[in-house]
Amino acid sequence: MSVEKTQIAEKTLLLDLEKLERLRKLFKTDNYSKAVQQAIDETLAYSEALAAARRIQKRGTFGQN
Amino acid sequence: MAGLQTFDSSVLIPWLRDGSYDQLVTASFTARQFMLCTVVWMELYAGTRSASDKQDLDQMVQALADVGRVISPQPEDFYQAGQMVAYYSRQYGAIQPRDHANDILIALCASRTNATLITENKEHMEKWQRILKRSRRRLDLQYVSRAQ
Repeated sequence: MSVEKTQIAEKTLLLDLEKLERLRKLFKTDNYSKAVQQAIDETLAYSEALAAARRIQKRGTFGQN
Repeated sequence: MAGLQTFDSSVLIPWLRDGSYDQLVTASFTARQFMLCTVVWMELYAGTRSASDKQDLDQMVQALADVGRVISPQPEDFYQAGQMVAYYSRQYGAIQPRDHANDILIALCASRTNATLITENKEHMEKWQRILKRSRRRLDLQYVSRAQ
């Protein structure tokens, strides 16, 4: 099994501090990096999941007799 | 973040087949509220008719699992499911567990995670909701219909 390496890098971003704090509380993390990372992970995961579902819908074979 | 939502097979099968409930399900994905119960997942796999459908369903489930949005009944849920069938049989007449096991396990998945269960199956789910309430377990239901 291949294991993908995750690249973690330091980036300078311009962010609304109030919203960032709300995000941290929302995800119940102890720092901003974890909160942002979780928001990214969830957004990408839901986007990928929906894209996969769209391909099934487009093919039109699901549930057909 | 708004509450989690989990969808019964009665909603997700028509959604994947012909796009029914598309606005509702897409909104749940977009708001990151969507949660998949493994019992529904099993029923979705039963609907695949090609290797491509199966592969895409694999990807959909894997993406959700990566962020903890796939839920499964726990051992005690099977115990409770059996008790619920027994109670139902005593109150309303005998039923076959195999005819209701999936519905009950989906209801228990939703209850366990405090997710709203969105279903077409109002008649049955209401009964399981009432029986769960006896055990002080909450089940939030939202009914939908393609006739809307």
